[in-house]
Formats: sequence, C-alpha cells, structure tokens
Amino acid sequence: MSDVFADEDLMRQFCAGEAHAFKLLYARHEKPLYRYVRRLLGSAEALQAEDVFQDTWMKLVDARDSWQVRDNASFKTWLYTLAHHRAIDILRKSGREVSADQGWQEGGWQDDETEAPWQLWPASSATQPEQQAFWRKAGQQLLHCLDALPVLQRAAFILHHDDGLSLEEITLVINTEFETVKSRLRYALIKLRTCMGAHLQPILEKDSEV
Amino acid sequence: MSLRDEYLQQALRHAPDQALAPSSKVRERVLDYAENAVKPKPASWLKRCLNAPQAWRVSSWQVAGMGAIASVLLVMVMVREQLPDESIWVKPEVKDVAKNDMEKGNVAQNKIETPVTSAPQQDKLKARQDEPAKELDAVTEEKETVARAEGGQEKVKRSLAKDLTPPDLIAPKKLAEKTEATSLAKSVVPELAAKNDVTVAAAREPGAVITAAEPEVDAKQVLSKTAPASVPVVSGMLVYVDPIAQVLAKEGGATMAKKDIEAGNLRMLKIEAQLKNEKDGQEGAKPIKHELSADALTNYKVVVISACTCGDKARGELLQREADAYNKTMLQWYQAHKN
Repeated sequence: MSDVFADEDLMRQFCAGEAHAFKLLYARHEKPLYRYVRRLLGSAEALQAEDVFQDTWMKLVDARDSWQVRDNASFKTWLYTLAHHRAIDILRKSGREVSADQGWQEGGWQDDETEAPWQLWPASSATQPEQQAFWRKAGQQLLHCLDALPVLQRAAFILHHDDGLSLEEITLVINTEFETVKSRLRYALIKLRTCMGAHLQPILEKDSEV
Repeated sequence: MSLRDEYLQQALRHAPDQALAPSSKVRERVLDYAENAVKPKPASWLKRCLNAPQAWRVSSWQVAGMGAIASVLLVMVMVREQLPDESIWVKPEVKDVAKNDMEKGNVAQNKIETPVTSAPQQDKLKARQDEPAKELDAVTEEKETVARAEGGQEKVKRSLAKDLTPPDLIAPKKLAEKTEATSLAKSVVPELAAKNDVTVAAAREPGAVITAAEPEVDAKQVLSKTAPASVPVVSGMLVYVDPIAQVLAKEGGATMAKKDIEAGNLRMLKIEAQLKNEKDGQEGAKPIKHELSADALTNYKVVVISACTCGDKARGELLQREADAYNKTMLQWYQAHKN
C-alpha cells in the first residue's frame, strides 16, 4: 500500500491529520535518510547521527503546514534538505566543516579515465563469493575515502549515487548553483576513484595472482 | 566524464553501513511526536462555547422555549424598573390615617404629605421644608446667646419650656403660631426632656412632613394609631393624653357612658390632671396608670384618668364636666337597674 501513494500524497494526508500516512513516509525513508546523515557526518560525528535524524523528522512534523509541492522540489528533496542543514549545523559546531575546494589544490588528482584503476575492478553484478568479498571491501574502503572528502562534495556524491537525486535536486538540497554541484560532484568522483584505486589495486593484483 | 560512477555506486551499496537504521527508541519517538502533532487537541473553553449550539443540536421547540423564558424575564425586569419608588409602601398606615383624618376635617399641626415618587422631588421638598427650620435654629441660637448674657441657662430653659408647652388639642391654630418655638425646642429637647421627663417624638415618619401652613391632621388620631399611648408628642404634633380622656373629650361623657353600658363596661371615671402650670413646678407627663378602685355606692370600678391639661384651666374644667356627665349617666343606669 505504501508504494501506491507518492511521498507527496502521503505528506498531504499527514497534513490532513492522518498519522498513518506519516508512518508510511517514515518507513520509506528511514534507512536511506539515516545512512545519508551518518555518511555526511562521517565517522568522527557518527554519534550525532541519531540526533540529527530525529531532529530532521521532528522539524518536518512541525513545519508540515508550510510544506507545499514546488516545481522541482519533491518531498524527498525537502526531507533531505532538512537533514542536510541540520548535519551541517552539527559539523560547523564541531569545527569539522571544511571548504568545498579543500584538497583540490593539493595535487595528485587525475582525471584520466583510461588509466583509472577501477577499470580493472570486477563487474558489480558478479555473484561469485570472491567477488562479493571484493565489493564488501570496496564498500568499506569507500566509506574511508568519503571521510576524506570535503563535506559538500561528500554530500553531492552520496545524494547522487546512493539516494538517486538528480543534479537539480541536489542543487536544492545543498542550496547552491547547478554548475557548482556539477564541479563538486566531479571533484568527488576523481578523489574517490584515486582513493579507491590506491587501496584496491593491491587486492586486485593479489586476487589475480591467486 | 560521467558524473555517475557505477563502480563507486556498487561499492557504496556494499558498504557495511548499508543496513544501518536508527534505534527503535528514535523511531518510536518520531512516530509518537508525529501522532501527537496531528491528534485533535481539546478545544479551548471559548471555542467550546462558540460551538456549543452546534454540538447540542437543539431542536426548534427547545429554542422557542428558551426564547419565551428569556422574553418573560426581560419583561419582568422592565416592569420592575418602572415600579414607583418604594417609599410609598413605607408605613402605609400613616398614609391611611392622614387620609381618614383629612376626610373627617380634623385639623392639627401635623401634615402627612403624599409621598413623592421621584427622588429629585423629594430632595426638593426636603430642602424647602428645611429652610424655615434653619432660620428658626438661627433664632434659637440667638436667643440662647442673649439669655446667657442676661444671666444664665435657667432662664433660657424656662423660656424654652414655655414654648415647649404641649399644644392644645382643641385649638390647633395656636400650634401654628408656636411653630417658631417648636423648632426652637427641637434643639433643646434632649436637655429639657431629661429635666422634665417629657419625651418628644417629632413626627419623623417617612412621608410625614410638618408644615404650619398646610391643613392639619388630628393629633389624637395620629397618636392613637401611630404612637404608643404613653408617648406624648409636642410642638404641633401629638400631646401626652390618656386615650380614655380623648374619647371622653371627643364623644362627651353621656354618650360615652351609654356606649359603655351597652358594651357592659360599667365603671366610674376620675380625672387626675398631671401636668400643672409651670409655676406650680412642672411635674410633667407621667406614664398612664389606670388605678382601679371600687365606687362605694355602685361598687363599679373607678378608673383614674391621667390627663394632661397642659395648664389650660378651661380645658381641664371641660374634661371634668364630661367625666361628671359620664358618672352621672352611669349612676342613673345603676339606680334604674340596681334591683
């Protein structure tokens, strides 16, 4: 039943006093939103993830009367916007926020797709146990690499790759220009590929020898 | 360069935090918060009052009934507002007495005026009536001052007592002439009353106003109905007098005796004047005491009448004659029926 109604319909029902609609919305977005908050905060602020998550939903409940569907803003966009701003507040207070361009000038980042190490990775659809183990290690490594990214690049990457938001939607969530989102996402990809290739290359070589 | 990397996306899906979820406490807290937020709150008392008619769903006949009750209450309030002043209900007996006496043509110094219905009119009348009193008060003060200068308080009291001499019931016109002295007496009355045992009760009943120029009311009747028999009223008002003496003076001894005989009230009367001339020492009025004794001849009881002749000799003789006539009639009846 929860799939029958769009997020916006459920939100309208909730605004009309249907508490059950809110439960459906919550169930639908609980894990993705929590993951986003946790990954955006990073391992250093992981303990704040539940607070940010809870505050986000409560803020949504309190502001339900002011919610309205806009042209490019869906319920999901609004929800992630609230979570994003709350997480940024936490990071600012903790002093861990870094500028969007930090790391870009430090050099070493390559934008050459032909020689990128991830080209040697096994297909993501592989079902063999060894390959599954590889992706689990890759996933773990990716979280480490995300920690090293600037916050806004990290946010752009996660929103685009994990939560499936379009660049336009990310523009609204991060509250910045479209081109800025694109460049931040590009920087994030370059850094992550480099980071992931450096860590996974030895594993790949070891696996190929075996 | 593509902005979506399938390899990184796949790695992200295999990340160890993929299955993470907030704790159940956070879930419950959020859901409870949302549920409470949309739960209908109890309406404020004002809102409840405003919505009460809708909630009651009162039928038309109930509305009509309540409207009728409200209308009746409104009319009652309006009628109550139009009622005359309550002062007309105060001491209705006084008003009736005055009316009866006026019809009978009796005259006295007292005037029971028809009560006014409005407060402003009452105030106006009061002010008008107080004017002469104020003037007389001033005269009194002047008199007192002069008397003191001449030689003492005793003289003042004596002259005032003269003025205070109880009015003649038969000749009320004299009272009008003594109005000035009456008002004068008011200021000295307490002192004189203590000395002479004269109780003064000016007619201060609501609605009763003393005016010399107005038609007068019989003081005797006023006394007999409004004041205790033993309470004399002076200065154009009521004078201490025995009720029996009043009847005797009014009806005549023979008539009164006949009435008493018809009523089976066989008795003899004896006059005892109490208040003598001031020159004789001013004994003053005393409470009425009908001392009983038996007549030697008829064996009827003898009633002693305490009458205040107030120094009027002629009046005292007249009263005595009526008493003699009474006794004579009573004696005649005795002799006619002794066997």
